[in-house]
Amino acid sequence: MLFNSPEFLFCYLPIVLVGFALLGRWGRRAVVAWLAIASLAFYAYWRPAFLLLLCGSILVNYATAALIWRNRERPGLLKLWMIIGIALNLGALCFFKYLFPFLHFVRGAAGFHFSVGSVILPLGISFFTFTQIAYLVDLAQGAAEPQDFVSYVLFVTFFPHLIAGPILHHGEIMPQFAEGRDFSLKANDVALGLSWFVLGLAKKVLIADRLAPFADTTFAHPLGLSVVDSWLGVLNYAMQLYFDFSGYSDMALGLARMFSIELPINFNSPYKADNIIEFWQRWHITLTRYLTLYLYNPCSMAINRRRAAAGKSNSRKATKTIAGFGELVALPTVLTMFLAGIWHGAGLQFILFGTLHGIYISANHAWRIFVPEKSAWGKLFGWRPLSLLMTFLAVCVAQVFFRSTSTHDAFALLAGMVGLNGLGVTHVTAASAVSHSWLAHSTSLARSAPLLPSTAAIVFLLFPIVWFLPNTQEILGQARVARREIVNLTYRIAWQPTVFWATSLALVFIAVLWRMTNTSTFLYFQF
Amino acid sequence: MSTTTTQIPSAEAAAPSRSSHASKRGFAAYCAILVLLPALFLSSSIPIVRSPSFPKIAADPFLLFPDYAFSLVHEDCEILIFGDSTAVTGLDPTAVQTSTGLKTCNIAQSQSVVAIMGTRALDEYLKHNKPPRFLVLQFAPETFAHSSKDFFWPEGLTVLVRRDLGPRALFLLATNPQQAYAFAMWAIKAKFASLRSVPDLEMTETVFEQRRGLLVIPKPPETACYQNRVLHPSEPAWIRSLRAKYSSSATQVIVNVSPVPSCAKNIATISSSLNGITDNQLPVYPIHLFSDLDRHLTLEGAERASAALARQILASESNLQLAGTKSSHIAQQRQNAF
Repeated sequence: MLFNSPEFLFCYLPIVLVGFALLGRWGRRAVVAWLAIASLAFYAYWRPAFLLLLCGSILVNYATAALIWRNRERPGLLKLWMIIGIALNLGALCFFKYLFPFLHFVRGAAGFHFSVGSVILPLGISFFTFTQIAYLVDLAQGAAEPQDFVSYVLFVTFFPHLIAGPILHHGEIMPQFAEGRDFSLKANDVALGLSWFVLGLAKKVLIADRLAPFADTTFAHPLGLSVVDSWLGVLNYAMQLYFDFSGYSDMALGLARMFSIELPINFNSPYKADNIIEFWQRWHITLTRYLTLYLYNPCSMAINRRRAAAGKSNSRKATKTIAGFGELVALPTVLTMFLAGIWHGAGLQFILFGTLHGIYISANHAWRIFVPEKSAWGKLFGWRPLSLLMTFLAVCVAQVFFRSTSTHDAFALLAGMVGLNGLGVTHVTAASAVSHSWLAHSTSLARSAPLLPSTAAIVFLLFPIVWFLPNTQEILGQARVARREIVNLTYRIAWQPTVFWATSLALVFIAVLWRMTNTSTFLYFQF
Repeated sequence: MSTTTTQIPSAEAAAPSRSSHASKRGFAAYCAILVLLPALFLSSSIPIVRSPSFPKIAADPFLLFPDYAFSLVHEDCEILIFGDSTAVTGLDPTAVQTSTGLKTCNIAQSQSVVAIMGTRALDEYLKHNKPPRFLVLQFAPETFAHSSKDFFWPEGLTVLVRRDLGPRALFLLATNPQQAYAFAMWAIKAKFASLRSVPDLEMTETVFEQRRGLLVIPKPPETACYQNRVLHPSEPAWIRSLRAKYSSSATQVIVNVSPVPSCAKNIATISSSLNGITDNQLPVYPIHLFSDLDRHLTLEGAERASAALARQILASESNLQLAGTKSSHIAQQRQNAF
């Protein structure tokens, strides 16, 4: 079920809220069970058969967690069960996400002609798999405690985060389901959650979905595009992805808040980053945290141990040598981002996307280490407008790989972006929007119409928004830190539960309803 | 530009007046405004649809006369045509009447209305009129898959909301939120569009009134098939139940399938799927006799289909007369024997 679908808005959400309000009187168990059942129903609505996979994954992980806990005094067995648990999770993930694309690749490369079949990628498999792996690892390391089964089911399946994150850490969510808190529906949280949700919905429906046709068409036909065509397409996609993911994250946080559950901030104006390290601290924050905790840190520690065993230094000074930097910083970074690329999907283009970001981040670290801040170069690239623009352009180039269906298409589009196909004018076409009228219904469901540059150029109006305005959590007073220049503005436009705000957001909601007639999926659902 | 970050206050502190002064009731009122205004907006579609002016602004020829089928009282037609949009656009009652000499009425509606309202219009007609001698039920091949939900919902929901806004309608809307929402937005957008201009369907209106129920779609003839028709399995049980419900000593039920264009790819499949279900063979017409969606006929196409129906009825009638003569002859012989 999609957050931006009538079924969710007019049936599912009201029913779950009413159930929560009624069952709150019976205390924690009833509420947790209700939310768990509702979350499973949310997942089953998409394809009931895959509920078996989700439930199977939960059962296996819960049983493994019990075995890990039972053997907590026996390190050998504990480690064995942890490895088995991780292997089972990764096995299921590999089967559904990587096996068949890999077989297709092998078949293509070897020139075979037999059919290798395919399998439908279960929604959210990467998210619920990673959430559970983290729990098993933390449990084995003594950083987590066992949970009762229903709480565990809810932790994994809680519908606001189930399909596309945020990737939850048990430490921040389990205490919120614990005994002793008030499980009634609180008007202030519902008000805040609703406002957050509506703002997210507006980002998705009113902005991201409007940018989609141009971006989709550009990436569907990337060959021979001129500089104007290709850059407009890439910028449209950059903004589509931004508002799509930002909108989804806002909706997820808003939905959880309606039940007085606080999810971690997952998206914090990433295009305001003036370097690539900061970009990853703002984009898909919970994924970055996950990669750091469960990939980068173990990898870095292993390298440190190996160097120490070889008698090499691991000090800060060591990172200032080329060899030390390569081993201590660049290698774990590139390796982590390489795996992050694979996490996003099966395909060489995702590997290139991840590796490219690994190189970006390493270059960023190298710059910090090797180029003095007060040098001429340091001052030039320390000038925020320039560094902001450079970061954004680097992100756009990587997004070409992220969005393209193949590396061939990605390089074709990059060729257009650097002018190998000339300046040109826009000739991109896309399916015209279906009007409400009977005539449109009956005649032109999939007609092509030229998209004018002016349509695509609307994307430029979004730059001031993503660069200079406070983001949703800042407006709603839910951000912890913000740039100083944002804070003053935030105070002026801060959300208040007033008639003005309620009416304004209701009008935004109405605008969303007006545009929402063609429900579209979220870009991050494919992961 | 400074890159310094600063701690910004939490939600409560950022707006100190909020948590300290805004009462629980204030938050509840906030939520109520935020939810009720959009709800009111969507609900406004119901009075819009029920308004007398809606058929004119809906920009849908099939909704120009949504109440016509329910309005015939003491017409006592001898041939009554009921069915989906292929019947309302394909069978001219005046032409059938001229050819057969039997008073003919057409109360067919679009497939969506048939799917949602069932035979309500037909039942209403039969309540207020004498039973016809011939009841012609004509459907497109798609409509024979009665339980399929593959139709344009707003037309059916419009008639439902206008004629039968009660618990059943509300239940249907509540259990089909996607369609209910699309319907509401379709109606509201039609109302807004009508503020700029009202669609010109005058020709369709004139023909409908002159020919007592023939609807002509204001489009030029088609030149090529462009739709791959999705054909669900026909439901003979539904057709059997219709025959059983409406057949009587006074009424003969004729179930027909509407014409398909000769360029359609799946003629053989359609034809074989309807074997033994319909009373006619699947008619195949050239594409230029269709004006819309490969199933709605032009005026010329409608005249051809009407002539075919008239011939079918005349043949039926002569069969009936023949059967009547035979049976009276046998009765006479029996009487003589005693």
